Amino acid sequence: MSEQTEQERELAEVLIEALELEDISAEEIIAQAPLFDINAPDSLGLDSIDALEISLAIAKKYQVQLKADDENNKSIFYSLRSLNQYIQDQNG
Amino acid sequence: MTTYSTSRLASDNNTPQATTPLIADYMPNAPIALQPTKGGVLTITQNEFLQRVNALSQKLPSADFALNLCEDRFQFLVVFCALLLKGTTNLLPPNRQPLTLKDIAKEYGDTCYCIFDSPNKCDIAHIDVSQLALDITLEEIATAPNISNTQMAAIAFTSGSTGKPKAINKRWQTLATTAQLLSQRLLKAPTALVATVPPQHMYGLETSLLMVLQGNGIMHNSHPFFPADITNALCNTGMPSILISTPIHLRALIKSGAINSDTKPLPLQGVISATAPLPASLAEAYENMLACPLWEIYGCTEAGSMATRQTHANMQWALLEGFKLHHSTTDNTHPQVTASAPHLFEPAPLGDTIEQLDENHFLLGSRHQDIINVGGKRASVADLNRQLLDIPGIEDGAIFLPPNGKIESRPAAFVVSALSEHEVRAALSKRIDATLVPRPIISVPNLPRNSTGKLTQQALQQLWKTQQRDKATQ
Repeated sequence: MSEQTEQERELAEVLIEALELEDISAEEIIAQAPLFDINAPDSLGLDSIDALEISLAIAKKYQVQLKADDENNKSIFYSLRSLNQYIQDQNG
Repeated sequence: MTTYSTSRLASDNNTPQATTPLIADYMPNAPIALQPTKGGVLTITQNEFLQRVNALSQKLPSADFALNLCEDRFQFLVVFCALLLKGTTNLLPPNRQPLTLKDIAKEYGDTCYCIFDSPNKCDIAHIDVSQLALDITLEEIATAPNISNTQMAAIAFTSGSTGKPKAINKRWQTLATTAQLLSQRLLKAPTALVATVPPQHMYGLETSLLMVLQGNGIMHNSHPFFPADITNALCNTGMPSILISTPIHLRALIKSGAINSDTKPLPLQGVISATAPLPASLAEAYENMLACPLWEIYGCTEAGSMATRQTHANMQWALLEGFKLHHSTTDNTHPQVTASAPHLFEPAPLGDTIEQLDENHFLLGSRHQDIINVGGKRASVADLNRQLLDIPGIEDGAIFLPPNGKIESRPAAFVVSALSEHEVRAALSKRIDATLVPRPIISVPNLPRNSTGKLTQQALQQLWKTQQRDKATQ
């Protein structure tokens, strides 16, 4: 069962739309599952080009610019939950 | 052993030279790289660089081949040059998938090892360069070492016509001359180079590394990815800079809003783009947004960089000095074009259709249908299909480009298999680069093969259309 918060659901919708994901719906993204590691169970298996698309969608929707040189980048981008947390912190 | 002699450019006179110096216009105290630090930027001189290269070279084992997997751009260059001095060929694998590395290492003999700069899971012989203590003396090195022109500096890998990744040999003279020619055309004065492309990619290697050794480039040791990283890196150089990038990164930079009237002006002298051609209208819009000229480089793994253009001004590609194109007429459907140049040791076949305008200029047609290009990663459809069908549990399958009209679109796949989409994707991602893994992967009861077992593009596209229509009406 999904345990997304309302904000996470909203971000999930942004990801689905930005990446044109066809085989999964927003509510099916598991909030704590890795976005990028294809070998992890429930991962979306995204790649670097997806990351660029996500950064554009996030800049547009939340006015937050993601940075790869941020030391915490890997943990920020780890899951839907961590990404949402980062966006909320930036705008908080 | 390293021998030293007076540095000179191979192209300075007409007599062929047996060697080309590692650094073309060696000036011990001139900067070779800029290292971003917490508070600003640190300059690394050519002398300091050579000291590191020498010290590392002495620590490395004797081997014919090593896989250079360093991620830090400057460290990659130090290792690249240390291997050159040692007489070891840099192997540049097409991706980091464990199976790919293992296959390549096996092919290149018992002494072949991996060299990397950050913790890396690796089950073949390896050296972590960050763990090596180097004895750096402070003596000034008077001249740059000479490297034999015919020495095999690097081997890059590309998808061959047989569907198996093909090794492309890069001798030192080929790499050095290409960088000299590019620098003469694109870098009029010492310029910082900020690159979004990795150093292992042939385009990234020739521009962000070799233009530093052989031309006017000064490396900014970064690998910016997101738009905000790019603007940060450019603001960090503190000097006139050129951005070396790709259509995908440039599009993101322009669309992100990272550059606006509030940001401070970037020290951009120009932008270089390669991996996929930009339409003139986009190129012009980018030039206006970034307030600098945008050049494109045309090349391929086999020939390296071979032509440039300033896109909005002229769609014609201007060949680099010495290049000649040859058209063969043996096959009417796909006339094969090959490129030759004095610094190439053999003519290189091109994967594009080319309309030659005069001796030095041409227009680009479409890429041959078999090649898929996503974010600078290229693979032949035949190769991708081979990898797909290799997966246990896949009864039949086909990878193809769905008709969606984008410049660079991802491949999609049909499979006949009991495996889930996730399982197929996970298995493929062990073998091929993530950007080339098909999306979506659609399970079908069977593929529309004709009576001879062939699967035509038309049948595939028809099946795709039917699938899309069914989905829309669900």
